[in-house]
Amino acid sequence: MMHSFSEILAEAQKGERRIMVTPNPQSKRVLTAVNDARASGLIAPVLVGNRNLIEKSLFALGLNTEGCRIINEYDPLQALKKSIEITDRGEADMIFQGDANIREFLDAVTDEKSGIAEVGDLSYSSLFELPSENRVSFFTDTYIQEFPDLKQKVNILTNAISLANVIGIEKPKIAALSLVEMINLNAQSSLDAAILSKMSERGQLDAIIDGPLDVDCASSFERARRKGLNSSVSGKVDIYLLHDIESGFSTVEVFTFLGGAGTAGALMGSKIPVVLNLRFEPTDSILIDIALANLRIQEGILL
Amino acid sequence: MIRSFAEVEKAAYEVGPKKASVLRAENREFLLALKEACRRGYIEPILIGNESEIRKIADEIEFDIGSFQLIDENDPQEIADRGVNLVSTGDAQFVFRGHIEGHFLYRALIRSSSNSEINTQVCAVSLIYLPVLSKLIGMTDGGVAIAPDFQSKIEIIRNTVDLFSHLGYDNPRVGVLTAERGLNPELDSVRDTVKIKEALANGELKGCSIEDGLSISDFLFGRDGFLEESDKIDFSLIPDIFLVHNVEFGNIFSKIDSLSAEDYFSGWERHGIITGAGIPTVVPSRADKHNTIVTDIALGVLIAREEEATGNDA
Repeated sequence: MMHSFSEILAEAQKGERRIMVTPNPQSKRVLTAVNDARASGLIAPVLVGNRNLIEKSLFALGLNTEGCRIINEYDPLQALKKSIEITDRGEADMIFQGDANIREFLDAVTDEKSGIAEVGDLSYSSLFELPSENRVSFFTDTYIQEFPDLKQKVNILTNAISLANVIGIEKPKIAALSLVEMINLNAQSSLDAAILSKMSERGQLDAIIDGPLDVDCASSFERARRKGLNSSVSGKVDIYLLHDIESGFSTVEVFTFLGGAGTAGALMGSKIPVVLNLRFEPTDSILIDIALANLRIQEGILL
Repeated sequence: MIRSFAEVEKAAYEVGPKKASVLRAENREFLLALKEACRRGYIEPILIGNESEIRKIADEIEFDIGSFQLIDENDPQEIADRGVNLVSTGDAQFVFRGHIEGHFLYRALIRSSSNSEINTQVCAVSLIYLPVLSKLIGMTDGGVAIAPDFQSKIEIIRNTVDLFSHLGYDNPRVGVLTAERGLNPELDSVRDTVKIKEALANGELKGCSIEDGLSISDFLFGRDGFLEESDKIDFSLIPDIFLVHNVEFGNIFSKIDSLSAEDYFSGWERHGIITGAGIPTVVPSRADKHNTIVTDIALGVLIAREEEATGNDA
């Protein structure tokens, strides 16, 4: 089991270097991330875009084109399209969003003609470290599915369980969050949580799921007990399932910006690993995102 | 400006005592807190609940309640209604939620608000002490308004801005949080936010400013920026008040420090109150210890309703 971001990186470094394609890399953030991943032995970069510009930008940062394959393409939209095609043809092992606009990028990745992913299968997990407990834990879905119904929540959890497996957590402990620990017939989150919990009890999901739980009961065995609750996941949660995107996205933002916790993450549910460049993840987290993509390939955990 | 809960206590000491109606006082931690709050001169309680239980626990903890009004009542809804009514008639100045389930209180407050001309929206506000800023921020709604629509959001903002002006925060900056992350500008939360900004522009909403942007990322780095390093966040850009779209997230935000008290949220302190309907209410958690509850009471003193000019209280 990997207990921290540095262990995730170290584990990924034990594997083979993978080919990662990036459309239109321009920014310091993206070029630094690509270079770090190359220098760490994780990837062999394929950069698609204006060769002159890419080289200039690299040199300006004191970097060079060592180990990089550059495919010259002046038109940014064409560069994105070519990157997808290369990945689709199996000439790359993974694709990184780079400086592409998030919406355009996700649209291209999930385009009907693309064999990379279907939008309904996707979900995002945001990982954070808990140094005092020497482990990592994660929130999902923090980016993709907006108001998932129960069926979609099963998919989100299946993805998250796969990711947990990738970092060596077998049978992860999952808290399906809601407002309180009681089932409230008017609160869909609590009904979904109860069903998911039952599904895990029957072995329909390879995890230990408890819910509904509020964050208080989920995060602390003591506080749960004071409320008279004896939960098998309290204080040991690997995965927090959030009810909707308003809570998923904003929870990771509050965690990041008020708590100062830098998260990393993984887009799950694709046939080929797709690494996103999300605004709320610090630059050095992209290396961890790429490491997670490497580990997915290593473990054969793809859709 | 009140910057911490220690300052809340100091101010309560100066402006107290205020009269508080206590809903179901028969609980050891709550009575211990009341005893301490009385000793410090914060409040004069009106105790509502099971009289013999209250007397028994008060005896055990050597709390002399002889001089306080005590109303013997066992039905939880009746307790909540009477406690809230005491404040609307001016006989008490705020409500203290004792060992009673939230929904009885909310029902009583909503009933009372329908008779009130002040503001019909009842909402829960979390006050959070943010150590990095050495000040308080507000978050609403974490418990009462389940899925407020635009109009309710306006009233929730008004309530909270009002509360902040009581605490000495002039023209607070309100950050409205949505899940807009570059993928879907059609979200309800985004539409509401646009309308809230219009309401501010046309004067329907006053006494605050609304932050540009739709997420904390926007507040910190504008529409296109990225977080570069997580230890280089400019906390001064954090708004004074956060308005969230629904209670699913409000509930999480109000307790988010519990997810990692040691690693990321050390030194956070939070207290919840309910405002609106002209009935200030403090809502200690059932899991809290009495010294935390004393701070809740102090907060109640600060936001207590003004005494009626007619001298009801004399």
